[in-house]
Parts: sequence; structure tokens; C-alpha cells
Amino acid sequence: MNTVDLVIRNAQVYSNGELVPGGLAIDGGKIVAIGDERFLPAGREELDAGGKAVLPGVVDSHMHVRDPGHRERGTFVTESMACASAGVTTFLEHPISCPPPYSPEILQKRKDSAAPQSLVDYAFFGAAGSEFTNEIGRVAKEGIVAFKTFLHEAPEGRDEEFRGLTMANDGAILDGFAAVAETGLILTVHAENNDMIQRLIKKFRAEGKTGFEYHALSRPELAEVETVEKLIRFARETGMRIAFAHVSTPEAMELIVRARRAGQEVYLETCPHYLFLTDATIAKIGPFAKGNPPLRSRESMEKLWDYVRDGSVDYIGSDHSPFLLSEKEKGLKDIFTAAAGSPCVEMSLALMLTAVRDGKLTLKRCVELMSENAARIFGLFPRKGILAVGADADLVVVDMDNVWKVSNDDLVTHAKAIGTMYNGMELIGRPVHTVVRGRIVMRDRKVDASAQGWGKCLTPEWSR
Amino acid sequence: MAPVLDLLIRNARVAVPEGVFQGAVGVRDGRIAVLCDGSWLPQATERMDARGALLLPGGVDTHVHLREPACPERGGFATETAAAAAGGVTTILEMPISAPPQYSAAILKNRIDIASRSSLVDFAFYGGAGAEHIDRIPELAAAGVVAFKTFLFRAPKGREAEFEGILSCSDGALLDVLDAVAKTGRICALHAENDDIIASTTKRLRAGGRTDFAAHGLSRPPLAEVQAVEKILRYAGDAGARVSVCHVSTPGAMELIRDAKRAGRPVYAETCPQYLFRCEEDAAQFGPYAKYNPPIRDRASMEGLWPFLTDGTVDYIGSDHGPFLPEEKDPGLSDIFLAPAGGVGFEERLPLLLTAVRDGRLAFDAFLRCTGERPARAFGLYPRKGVIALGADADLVLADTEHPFVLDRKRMLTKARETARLYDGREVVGRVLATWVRGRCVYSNGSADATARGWGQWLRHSGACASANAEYMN
Repeated sequence: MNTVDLVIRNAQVYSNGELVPGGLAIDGGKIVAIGDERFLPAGREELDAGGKAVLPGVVDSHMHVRDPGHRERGTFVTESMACASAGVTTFLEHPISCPPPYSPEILQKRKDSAAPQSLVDYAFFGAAGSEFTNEIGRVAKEGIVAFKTFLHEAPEGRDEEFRGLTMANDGAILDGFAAVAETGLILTVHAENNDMIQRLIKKFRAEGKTGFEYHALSRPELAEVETVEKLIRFARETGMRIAFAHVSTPEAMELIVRARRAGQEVYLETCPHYLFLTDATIAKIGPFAKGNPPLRSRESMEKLWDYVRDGSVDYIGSDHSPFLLSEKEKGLKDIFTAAAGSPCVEMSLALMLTAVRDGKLTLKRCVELMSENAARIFGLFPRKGILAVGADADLVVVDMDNVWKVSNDDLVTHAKAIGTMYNGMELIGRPVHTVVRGRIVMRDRKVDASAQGWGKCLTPEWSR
Repeated sequence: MAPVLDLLIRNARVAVPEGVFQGAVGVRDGRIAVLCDGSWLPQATERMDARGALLLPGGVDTHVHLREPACPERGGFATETAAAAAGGVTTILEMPISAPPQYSAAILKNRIDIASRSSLVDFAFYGGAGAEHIDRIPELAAAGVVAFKTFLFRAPKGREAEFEGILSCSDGALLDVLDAVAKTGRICALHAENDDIIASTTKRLRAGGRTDFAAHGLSRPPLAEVQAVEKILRYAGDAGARVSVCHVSTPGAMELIRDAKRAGRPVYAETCPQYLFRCEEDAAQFGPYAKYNPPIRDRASMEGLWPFLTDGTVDYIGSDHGPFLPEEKDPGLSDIFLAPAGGVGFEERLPLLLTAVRDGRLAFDAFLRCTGERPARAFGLYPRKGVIALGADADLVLADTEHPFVLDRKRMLTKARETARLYDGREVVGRVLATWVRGRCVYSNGSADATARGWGQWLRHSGACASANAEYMN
């Protein structure tokens, strides 16, 4: 065989923590060679990277498409196009949906929905709640990468989206944890103390305090820290492998690091918005910067970087959450009524690469956080998360030199109207081409809509 | 004409940082130019079929004592680097015990010249650091030593010249030396044993008529190491020095180092095969041939070291290869205190470790970490050395991990093969089939290429500082 499907030339290939001049050869959807391009075969198709960097495709550990629940907010087509535009080649879909996938049957509906639509690969979290603990063992066998649960009540008006997805009190948590522990899978938790939060919201409302700043004030750091502390203990007690989603406070991170040192299996995710934005942004744009947990103080934000740098944080998830403009605008009058979350996947990689440029972390750490670690932890390694001979040819070509100014008008997500959090920021690291299993799904910043359905549902190594 | 590779090793199981893939490695101009799965093979001047054997990054041995120019009769760069190649080591870090030790740039230059003429593998030097020539430390750093080494004890009797300028015998001297090395940004490696404890214990044992093998171990109790490590960690913190604790032999010392690492301190730990694969219960039969400093410990200590390989506390496994003449060792048969401490280890290290991997005692990634990646990182040689990756030096080792063989001192290449008793006759896997240094095969099928003497190059510190120590605790 003297030709292969695709050869990427004239690149700086990410190899072992560094960018090395060369290229890649891809055949049958896999990487078959990495090296000095003089020694690569000819490709039936060749892509000149123009000297830009080639990184492993991003494995986004935290995505909310919600299809088929709320297609008006975004579909597997529109949001996987946003992924392609973001250099995300695999996303892990969280279970908020209508209803959440707490049974194999509901999960199958979500799989059927994604299959003809997604441009990039994906895997599912299963829903674990105390309501249907008898389903947990069944769902575990369906190739999910992990479970997810929430400790809080469904947000106002969203009961159906959170059915079978919550563990509302300590007894329920312990029962739920025990059920998940039996499956051997990881449970990812949204860790905020609902009682504390509800009490504060009630108090602020009674006082007529529904302005922007009250979102963060109603969800203090304590609500996260105390819950992380409690759940570490519950997980240890039940022998359950636990992962904390979107950790936003240095104190919670410290608790996780200590538990890990004591030998417990605990994983730690954070999101770019906790690393690049502060409560000042909520004060400015209110509902459009509303997320749970909320954006924190500058001091907290700065401290999180220590945990990013030193390897305490395992992976970065975008927590991409599309909503309708109307669902956000409600919050202009009463912040508590706005939906929480932002469609931010398209800034993730660029933000982190800009931080690399600024010396906040090494490129190696960045790639581990964005691609490799999530692939390892959720059982997709070594197919995903790395550029290596034999791995899936999932990669992103990024422009490490030119600065682009973020504007939500340029976003691909269906929810671009509300994606204003990072507007005006000047970043490098914009994805230029994205390749999923050898197919170019974005070329020169243009997402190939005809690649709908190219994405495959992934199952972790241990279930295959 | 299409460009051609100099060498293509195909049909191998290739150990890269991400895992092991089945395929081929191509070399051009001494560097790794392409990695491929073998479904398609680039043109190459020389092709080698690895027949499914394991292709590893060449070993970086952090602890080597070659005897030139001081005592070439024990083993010099030509014979001992042939032994290194036979053991899959492609980079050696040479310690300063010599006569005189390299405590100045001029002495260093002389040793580099000697090594350059006869070494088969690449080599780097530690600089000698001691109270006596402390003002020379900056010039050695500028001359490119990868680290410094100092000893906390007095010179062994009769070997004073070999230890000149590398001793930090008092607490004040040690602090001064750590301060001086800290200013260079290089690592200060230390032999950590409390000499006062050893001196008084030895005196008592001798007075009691004890000169048997066990007396050596008794004379250097675990406390001597643990206490010295505790002191070093405290002093290093004060001086802001990066320290590497050589040949750690006790779980107690490992615990201290682990905790210091967790606290974010720039501390590196080395251990050696003799502490992992031998214990005093089964080493006594070898008498002086099993005499090392620190001594081989009891079985519980030996077993207790292994978890520190897994949890990342151990950064590298150095051989502490130090050849002696049988005539020097033999007086120890009647009086253990008369034998010099140390022994060869180049040719045993890799098979012992790969056997531990086969037996499930050592994770393969921990093996790779401790024999290549971390030593190369710590001493400023990464990513040129210690890894199979694009652009890295083509330092490669092909090893057979399938077929058991017996370690046989008679077939070894070290000049001191007669003293290689410690594992003689042990059945292992991991026979080295071939070793390449920057793309040149310097060892294959049991013999070294004598024409490759002088192929080895001197490696200076790259100037890059290893990144945060936390890198090494995951």
C-alpha cells in the first residue's frame, strides 16, 4: 500500500508534550504514521496545515445537547457542529433531557436521536437518581461512560428534565451511591448544597433582591465546599468511584486533592469559565453569565490555576448549555428565573491555548486536560485523546499565532444569541480544521454540514 | 530521488509514552523520524525485522562509576560502556569518584576527553561538590555538568584521592554546598548516610569481633539513612536546592521523600536493583560481592520499597554500576570491612526490571518512567533522551520479553564480570537483543561493536529546568 486516505503535511505535530515539525498519515480512520513528512506516504487527499499546530481532538467531558428533550434550544446537528468548530471530536453528553436516560429504553431513544445527526463522536452519561435505583444496574450495561446525578431539586419549571436524575437528601444519596458502586462505574456529581441555596433564594426574594449579583450570593462557595466534603465521605463509605463536575472553588479542590492523597479514587473537573471569568461578568451581563455553580471572585479564580497547573484537575469540560434567548431574558428582571448555563464550547480550546501562550500552564498539561485525561478516565483511551499510531484519527489544527476577537455572532451553536460571556476577549488557538476518524468535518473554519451522522456513539473499553 | 531513512526497525512492539503500538520506527540522521503502524513502510537503507520483540527507549542510568582515569584496571569507559549497551543503557550519568574527582572544569575536561575516545554510549557527568573546592561549583555548572554530587561521609581508608573535593562532612559544609549548588539551578545528588552513626557502630562491632557479612549491614543501620534524608530535606528546603537522594534503600527514607514531594518540594529519589531484588537474608552467601553502601536490607525493607515505585516516589532506578577487582573484594571474605563497597549492575538491571513487569510486580509505565523519562527530565536531557518520540535521539533497545534466560556472569561484557555474583544463575526475561545509540547499533547478539568506541558523545545539561515537581507525583 503506497497511498493512504489522508495525509496532513506542513504541520507542527503535538508529540510527547511538544510541537514537532512534520505530519500525519491516516488510513481507515486511524493514524498510521506520524513523522517527518519526507517519510510519509502519499495521501489520496492531502491537507496542508500551513505550519499550524496539530493537537489531539478535544474530548469534552461536559456537554448538554438535550436532544430529543428540547430541540428548540439546539439539536445533535447544531451542537455537534459547534463541537466541530471548537475542535471537539468526542463529547460526553450529560443526562439532562426529557426525560433523562435513567433506563435503557430512554437511553436508546437518545442514541437513536444522536446517530443520524452528530458530526463528531460522542458517549453518554446515564442518569442516576434515587427515584429509579432499580434501573441503575440495567443502564450500566448499556455502554455509558459514567453516571451523573444532581443533589438539588429541579430548577423552576424544569421538573421533567430532571426526573430520575436527582438524589434529594442524604439518605437518598447513600442509597444511590450504593447502587452505583455496585456497577463499578464512576458517578459524576453536581455538588452544591440545595438546602443552603433554596434558603438564600427565598430570603433574597422576600427582600426583593433579584438583581444580577444575587445569583452568586445565593450560591456561596460554602454550598460547594460542604457538599464536596460530604460526598467524598459518602463515596468512601459506599466504595463508589466519584467525579466532581465543574468544581469552582479552590477549597473544594483542596478537599479532593487530600482525599486522593489518602488513596481515594476521586476525579476533578473544572470549566473554562471558572478560570477566565469572575462574578464581575455576572454583574455586567446577568443571566448570560448565569451558571451553576456561579462565577466566583477573582481571588478564587486565580487560585484555581494552581490546581490546573499541578495536575490536580483531571479534565476540563465546557458545560456547554444551549438555551433560548427568552429563557435567559427572563432573568433580566429576576435573575433567579433565568436558565443556568451557557453555550461556550467554541471558546474552550482557544481559551486554554491562550493560557498556554501566557505561561499559565504547559502545552502538555493543556492537552492532558482537554483530551487525554478524560479519554483515559472514561474508558476511551487509547482510541481517543492522543495522537499516536493506531489511535483514531481525531485531531484539530489550531492557529497558535493569530489573535481573534470573540463575538457570539461568529458562533456555530444554535444558541449563539445567548453566548456572550466571552465577547470582546482576544484569544489565540482558534481551531481551523477538525478531523474525526479521518474525515475533515471542519475545513478552513467551515463546518461540513454534510458530515451529519458521521459521529459514532462510543462505548468504554471495559464494556466492549 | 525520494529521501530514504537510515534505519527502519519494523514488526516491533514499540513503547511510546502513550502506550505500546505494533509497528515500526524510522531513523534518519540519528533521530527518530517516523513512527508508523507497518501497513506501509518507508524506504530505508537498513531494515531490521524485530520479530515482535519489545522496542524500548534506551535506558538513562543515573548512577555510574567508571574508573578512568583513576583505576582503569577495574573497568574503564570502553569495557563498561559496552556492558551498558549490553544492558540496554544508552546514556550514563557518571559520578565524580575518580582521582582526582571532577571538582573543576579542567578535571572535568580531562574526563570528557577520555570518555570521548572510548565510550560506546552517550555520557553526562555529575560535578563533584564539596566543601573543599566549593568555589569551583559555578564553573562546573557553566561547563555543562548535569548535576552535582556530594557525600556526607569521610573518604574510605586508602581511597582519599578518589574522594577529594566531593565531601560535605559537617552540617555547616553541607549547608554551604547546598547553597552553592542551589545558585546553579542544578540538582545536588547526595549519598545519604549519617557517618557518625556508622563510625560508632562499626567501632563497636569491630571491638566485638564482628567482621562477617552481616556486620556490614549492622554497621550501617536504616536509621543512618533515614536520619540523613530527613536532614537533607530540611537543609535543601532552607537552601532552596533541588536534591536527588541517591540509592535509597529503606521504606522509611522513601516515606520522607514522598511527603516532601507531596508538599511540592523539588526532591528526586533514586533506588537501585540491589535494594529491590536482593535482601540480606539471601545475599549473605555472596559476602563481599554483596557489599554495597547503603547495605542490602532485610526482606521487609526490600518488599517495602516496591509501593514507592508504583506511587511515583521513585524517580529513577540507577544501577550504581561500580566495578572492582576480585582482589579488592576478596579480603572481605575474612573481614567484610576490608572490601570496597559496590558492584556491577549494568547488565542485570533491565532483565531484572522487565521480569518484575512480567510478574506483575512493576507496572510497565512505572518501568518506562524510572528508566528513561524521569531521569532524562530531571537532568535536563529530555526530550532528546529517555523516550521514543518524534525528533528524539534514536537511542533504542530491542528486548525479548518472551523467552526466559539465565543471567550468566561469564557472558557479561563488564571487565569486572568475575565479581558479578549477586544474580548469577537467576532466570529472567528481557534479554537485550540489540542496542542503538543515535541510530547506530552498538550492541547485538551478545557482543558490542568494538569499532563503536568513541561513538558515545558527551551530553551537557540542556539548560532547561525540570518543570514543577508536581509533574512527577501523578
